[in-house]
Amino acid sequence: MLPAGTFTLSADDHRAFARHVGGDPDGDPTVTALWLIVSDLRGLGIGLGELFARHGIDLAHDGPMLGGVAMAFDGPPLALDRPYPITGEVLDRTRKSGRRGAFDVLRVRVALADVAAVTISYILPRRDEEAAA
Amino acid sequence: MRPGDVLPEHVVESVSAAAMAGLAVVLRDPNPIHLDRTAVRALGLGDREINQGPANGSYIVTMLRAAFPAGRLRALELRLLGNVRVEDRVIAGGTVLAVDDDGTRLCEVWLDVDGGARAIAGTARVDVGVGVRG
Repeated sequence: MLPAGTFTLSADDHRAFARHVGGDPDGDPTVTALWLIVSDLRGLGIGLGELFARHGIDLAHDGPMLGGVAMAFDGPPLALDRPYPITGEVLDRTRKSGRRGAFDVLRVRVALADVAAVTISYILPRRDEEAAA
Repeated sequence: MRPGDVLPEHVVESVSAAAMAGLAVVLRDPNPIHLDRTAVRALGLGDREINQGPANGSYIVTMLRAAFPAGRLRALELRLLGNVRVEDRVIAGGTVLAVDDDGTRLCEVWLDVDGGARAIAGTARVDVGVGVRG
């Protein structure tokens, strides 16, 4: 399990996100919340950079990417400016190879209590292993 | 909408570097591939900044919201297949695959780069039976 925490989506962040993606600032903020969590594990007791570092990846220099998401919205819409308990866990890490060489798929599941959950697949390049091959 | 119906497209005429820079702040995403084409080249990922995955996925969500203005998204599964770059023209689209007994629509969704490859493929479940935002 990853360190649990508290997630709050501010009205300002929801509006700013909508503005930058051409979305609806009056739309359900639950989706915005999950995108922010996908991006940096906001609210958990560990950031994405630290999580990647644990798996040998430098967020700023190695070019990790988002590979996929599976979102489920089972609860009521998230309320803005209200704190929610958030939990997360690493599900698995799988070695694969593609056009650009070896990479790992790191799957992480994060749940916002009583609102929504997302399983995230991060692509972690393994250029060191390409060089060694 | 019924199975086989095509959802109205949502088009982004040109992915904006300014929007990417602003979104990087909101997302707290320091990855330089979104902001610095020198870093993109150094990683062998092309010669233009790469749009954030959440932005690409949001274009699909915007398309779904326009198609089902009184509906609520219940599930969204997306596979990111390729990159969207600054100044790309992208098209979000979809079709209705099935209608559940409760009226929930299962849709195939995608995001295409105009003149390029499919960037995202996936599915969405939209509950059209409730009149909530989203």
